[in-house]
Amino acid sequence: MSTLIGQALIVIGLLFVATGVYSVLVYKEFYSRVVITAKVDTVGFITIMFGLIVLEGFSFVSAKLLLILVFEMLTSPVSTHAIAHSAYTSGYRIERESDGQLTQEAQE
Amino acid sequence: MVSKIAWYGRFMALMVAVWVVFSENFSLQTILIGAVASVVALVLTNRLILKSDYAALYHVRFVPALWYAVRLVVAIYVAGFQALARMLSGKINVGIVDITTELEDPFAVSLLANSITLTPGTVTLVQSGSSLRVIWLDCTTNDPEIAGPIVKGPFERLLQAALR
Amino acid sequence: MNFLEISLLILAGLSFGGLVRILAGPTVWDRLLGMSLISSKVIVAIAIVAVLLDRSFLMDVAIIYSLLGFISSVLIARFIERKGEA
Repeated sequence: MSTLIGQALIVIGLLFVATGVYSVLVYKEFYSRVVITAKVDTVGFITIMFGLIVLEGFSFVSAKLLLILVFEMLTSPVSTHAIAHSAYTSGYRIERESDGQLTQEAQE
Repeated sequence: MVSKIAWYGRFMALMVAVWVVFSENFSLQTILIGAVASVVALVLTNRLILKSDYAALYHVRFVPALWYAVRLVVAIYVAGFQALARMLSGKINVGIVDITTELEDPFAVSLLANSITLTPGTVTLVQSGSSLRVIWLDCTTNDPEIAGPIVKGPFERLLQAALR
Repeated sequence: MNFLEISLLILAGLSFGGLVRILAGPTVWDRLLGMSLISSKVIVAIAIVAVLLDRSFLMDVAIIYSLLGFISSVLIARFIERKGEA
């Protein structure tokens, strides 16, 4: 039973990760890529880790998995924020249709 | 004073638990070594690195903090499914909006920025003082008064409860 | 073929998507985003291998890898701010 639940969780997590990769490949603009990927990829990560914890049962390995999960939940938004902040302070702006002109000075 | 000692006791228990998990060995010797190492680490960081002590800087209450973590995971899943639905329907309208918070502690503000990066379709760009500039996935308005409650959700109130 | 082995293969295929973003990305921040994407996939893959082989020391490798990925992406992002000047 726990095997089935764990495998189902891992499949759901893989689907989330696949959507994250798809959105990174498809979207045209940097900020929408960042916003979608930061969320969907973290959701996939958490789901796969929960699936592995359920598969493993109660042991030291699952405790370490929980530790990695907490650590990733703390650091993943920080690294996303660092990337987005770096792009913003370097002058990358959102391109609007109404402007009709490229405002991405940082892109050369 | 008593609450400070209780705070250090719980923090040390957390550190010893992490130490036991790392060394994968649940014996009395491991727990003793972990306790000594956690005391040494606390004393050294209090003396050498921090300006005041831990209990004054990170006055976290444990039960509301746990409740905050549970709400955070639930909100992460809700936001993930929302982002998925928005992606599949192709309605993406990314914009930049400024919001302000009532929190003043830098630790609390950075936790709030982390949480809203994880949850409702936003990524924090710039944080200065208690004002944040965020990218918003579904940017309907540029007004900070209207955008603030939608972006922050329940987390500001929960953080105020958890951090006293 | 095991379930976990198949999911490892799928993860390896997915991390090629991040590689494509690194190679194609118009700006340097796109490349950084692809790098952090790949690093999170590698952490998941190491954890799956640790559960598959039942070797707990591989979890330590995963912890160290997540530390390194976080520090490297934050450091590079800070370093290329304002095109590396100032």
